[in-house]
Amino acid sequence: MRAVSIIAKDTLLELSKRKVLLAILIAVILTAVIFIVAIAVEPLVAERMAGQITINGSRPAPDQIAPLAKQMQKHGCNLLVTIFTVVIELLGTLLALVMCVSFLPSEIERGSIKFLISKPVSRLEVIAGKWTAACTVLLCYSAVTSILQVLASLYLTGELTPDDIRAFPFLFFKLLIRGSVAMCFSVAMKPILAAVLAFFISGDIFSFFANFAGDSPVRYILAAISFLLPNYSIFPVRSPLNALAHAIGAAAPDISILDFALRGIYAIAYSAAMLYITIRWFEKKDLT
Amino acid sequence: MEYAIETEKLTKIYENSNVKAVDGQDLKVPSGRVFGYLGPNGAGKTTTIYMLLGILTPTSGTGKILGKPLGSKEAKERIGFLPESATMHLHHSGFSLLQYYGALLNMDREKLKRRAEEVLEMCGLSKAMNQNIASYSKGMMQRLGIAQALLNDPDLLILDEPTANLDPIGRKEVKDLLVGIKEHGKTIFISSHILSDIEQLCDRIAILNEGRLVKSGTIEELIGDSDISLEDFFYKTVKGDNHAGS
Repeated sequence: MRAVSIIAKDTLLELSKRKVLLAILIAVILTAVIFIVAIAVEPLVAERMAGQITINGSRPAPDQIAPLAKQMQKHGCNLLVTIFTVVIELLGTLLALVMCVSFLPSEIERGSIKFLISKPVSRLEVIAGKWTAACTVLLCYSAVTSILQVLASLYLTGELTPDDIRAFPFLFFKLLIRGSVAMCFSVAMKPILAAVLAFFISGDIFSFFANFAGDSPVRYILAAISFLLPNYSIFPVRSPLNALAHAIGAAAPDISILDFALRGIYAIAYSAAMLYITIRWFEKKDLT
Repeated sequence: MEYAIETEKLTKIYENSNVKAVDGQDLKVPSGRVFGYLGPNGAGKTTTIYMLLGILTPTSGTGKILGKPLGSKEAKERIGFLPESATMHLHHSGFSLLQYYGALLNMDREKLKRRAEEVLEMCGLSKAMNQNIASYSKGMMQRLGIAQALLNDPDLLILDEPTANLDPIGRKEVKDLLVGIKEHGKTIFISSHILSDIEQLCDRIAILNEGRLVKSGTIEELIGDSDISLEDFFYKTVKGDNHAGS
């Protein structure tokens, strides 16, 4: 365990010096700035749009414009929070991929792995150390961006959606699986290919089609495939569907505590399985 | 005789190229000696060293290093290793790099600090110890590589081309350093192309060609009373072996 924490700490130090974290931080800040500007102009846009729309073929009366604008502003803000979370999730995915595909290949390519392995350190400890560092970064990223999402929701709409409350664990689970898959692929192929595959290989599409397959065996086959591949669709950070449902006052599909726990177990089990495969491959690999 | 390194039919075939880099090698390195490991490029010297340390997995064969299985943690705690032309972790200064490697060697913090300063001094890097190693010259990098190999005061020092990248002064300093270590009864295993260095430093040598060990013994035993230099002997051995092989 000592070697794992030493390698994890050093990996975090290296990440900070390689400016990977800084680049992502700048991207998050830029997104937040754009978002704040959008919030600032949102009331003006809503008021202008409220005056331009027609209801039953005629323009709204002057006393109808203000409440209409307020309603439109609320919907617009909801949309803004959704767009913000989608961008944040994409940046998080980019962070997980860039970080996790480069850890092992960069050590092997520059030869520094030879210094590590010549010390009393096992290959398992090297992988575990890198993975711990990745988990720490992704956990911090998920926590900070989820707090931003909660604050934005509270400020703009005065209330929190169930998605906002679950944003932190769901974003973390998603990024954890993505990072674990990317690290696993990076042992067997070039980093760029590993990143592309880890981005595109997903069970989401099978999960989507399973919903339309009725109660036939096909549904179960599709569902099984969707969970064998990394299934990100079960971690809706702030789905457009839920945002829309919330905006029109309809009930978004709720997630029970048991369901939430099962999804968490899936994320942890999937990442652990990926980590196990990574270790098995890495132990057989010639590190030259 | 006690051996620091013992291998039995150690073989490595690279799967992707199907090249037999090391072919059934029976290597015996006595403890407390300086052992020169010679061979032309591609003879399998570095491959052997990597198998000793667990960087490569042998295709077949076994071995022991300081009485422990190849690549085992117990053995690696007592080994210092300098790889050939490998880059270290460039985000460190010389001192912080040694702190990192020392922590992995389970060294006590206070002892590590003292030892790090000591080996940096020995390797002539005291002034540059807080400088980022990305700015080090090749020679400084090589000396830092030697410093990290000496950090845990190892019983066995494995050096792959230790004097490469060094100017004549640097080479002399490294040789003097190795002589000092030899006097403390440590085992040193040197792989090198520079035969004059090997001749000056080593008690025993082994010559490797095309993955096979072709000669092994003390320099006196191998050359005998003849007037030929180690360079000529090496040339004849490798060329003769190639002709015999073909």
